[in-house]
Amino acid sequence: MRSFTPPTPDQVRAHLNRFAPQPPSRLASWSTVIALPLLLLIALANNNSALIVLPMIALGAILATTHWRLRRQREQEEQTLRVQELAMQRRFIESLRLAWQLLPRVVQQPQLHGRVVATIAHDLDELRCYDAAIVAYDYLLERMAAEDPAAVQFQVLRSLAQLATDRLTDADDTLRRLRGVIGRFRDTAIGAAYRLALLVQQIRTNHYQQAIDESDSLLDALRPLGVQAGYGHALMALAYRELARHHNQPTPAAAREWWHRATLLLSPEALMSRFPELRVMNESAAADTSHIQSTTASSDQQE
Amino acid sequence: MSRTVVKPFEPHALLRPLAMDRALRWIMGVVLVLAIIGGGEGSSVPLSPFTWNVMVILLAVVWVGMITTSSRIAQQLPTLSMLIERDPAAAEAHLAEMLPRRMLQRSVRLLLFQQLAALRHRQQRFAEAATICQTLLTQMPPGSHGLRLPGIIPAGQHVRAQLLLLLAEARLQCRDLVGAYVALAELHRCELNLLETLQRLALQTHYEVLAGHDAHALWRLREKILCAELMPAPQCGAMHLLLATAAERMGDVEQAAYLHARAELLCTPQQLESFAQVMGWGMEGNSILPLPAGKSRDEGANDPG
Repeated sequence: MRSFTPPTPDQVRAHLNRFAPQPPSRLASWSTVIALPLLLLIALANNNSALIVLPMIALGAILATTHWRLRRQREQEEQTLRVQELAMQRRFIESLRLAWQLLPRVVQQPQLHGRVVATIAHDLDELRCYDAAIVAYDYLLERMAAEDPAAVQFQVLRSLAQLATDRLTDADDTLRRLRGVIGRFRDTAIGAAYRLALLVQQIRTNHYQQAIDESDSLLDALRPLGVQAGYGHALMALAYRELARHHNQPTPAAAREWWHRATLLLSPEALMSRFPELRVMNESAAADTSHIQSTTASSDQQE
Repeated sequence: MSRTVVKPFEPHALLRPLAMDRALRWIMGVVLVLAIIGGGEGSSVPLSPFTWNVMVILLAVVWVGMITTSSRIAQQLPTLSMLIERDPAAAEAHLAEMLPRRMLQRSVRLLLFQQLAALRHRQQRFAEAATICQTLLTQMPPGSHGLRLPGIIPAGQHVRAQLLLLLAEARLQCRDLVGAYVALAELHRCELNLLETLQRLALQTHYEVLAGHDAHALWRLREKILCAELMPAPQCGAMHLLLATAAERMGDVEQAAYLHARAELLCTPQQLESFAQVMGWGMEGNSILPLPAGKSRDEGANDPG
């Protein structure tokens, strides 16, 4: 098996700048269209029978070139889809490797180029290479209109990556800027990701009470994330636990309930891998379980 | 004044323009052959260079005209797909304008009708959607990989698979289990991408639960759950609900409770209720239960066994 070393932010920046999108030149696009009438005119102007075949050859050449160009485009689209499918299947290393190699080949197709860079950003994010992911998100955002739904999504994802690397001020700026537009994305995955980012921010800045005060709407707000909503549920459990701990109180039932919801959707390992601070929650839940088991066993013995 | 509504589909609405397109292609082919034969030095009916060139120019104009119109329509197809999701009435107006166009590439015409099938599906006119899919599929025999599109449409080779997915779902909605079974069996012979595979899995589970094949529905449950997790939240929740129902009927109460709890986290109560209505189930408290045997769910349902 090949070893994997994630690219550094500088390497990502250099790769993206080296293979920036270059739309095909207008002259190249129109050359075939211009060539045909030109050759027809030459053929019409001369009665030389040798020139008669020129339009036919030109037509054949146009057909062959168009066919070759479209075929190459289709192959690149299939490869882009493959890269995205690998990312969907959480095979991030394979996806990143393939996307990295594919990028130079799609520079003349801005739409495919954008999809490949977005996949690189997503893969890096999932592989916990947050600094490199932020570089890729910045690159995408520089080339998009701010009101584009995809741009809003990338900003939310970038804020999550910034929170993961303790760039709290940067994340706060982004989230504040999005406050005006996020209403349009209620009940969508983008809105849900924004809500998760707010919760992560509250946890990272120890605003547990604020997180709990807003917990009523959390279940519905995070739902569009699917099983990923489990991260939010786990963080809410942590908020309840930490607040209780600050007041020297035992872990409340609400914390256990949120943790139970979280572990219904995601494994404790997945939760702790993304948010290492959840380790205490997992240990607390394990301790609770063993306590219940020992209590049940002792009561059985007494009976 | 332009039409804003597409007439209810009849198979000849597709077959007639296809025949006309085919006839036009033949005429162009014959003219091309005549031009080549007549252009030769030793031809029995030699054409003057001027006549020859006029024929070639005419051919080129017709050909470029057809390609241009087809390309323009093909470029609008992604927008049309989006409109079908967001504004079906506007999508129907667009289709009403595009469908009567003459001189289209066969592949583009077939794709337009595929969009019409998707629109009817979105409008919950499932019987009509099924008829359109069925007619289109007769034009794309198995093994042809759907359409041979010279790159205009990137996912050309998956058109057949997408039609079969639409057909299977429309048949399930019409409670035609035999038709759904045939479409699903055909889908297993197609090469599918990941999203299509996930759709097939959801449809197959739907079919198995409707048909009462609960053991089949629960076969390789872990893998099915992992696949369901790749689906958007409402579909993922619906899939969990289907599996929960199968587990409940198989007597696996623990598994059913686990799946049901996940479904409740993934779907809103409204989504669960609307899904239950689609399935013909009744809501009882927090639980969704199949109606007793003999009620509407089984009425008219043909199980191929």
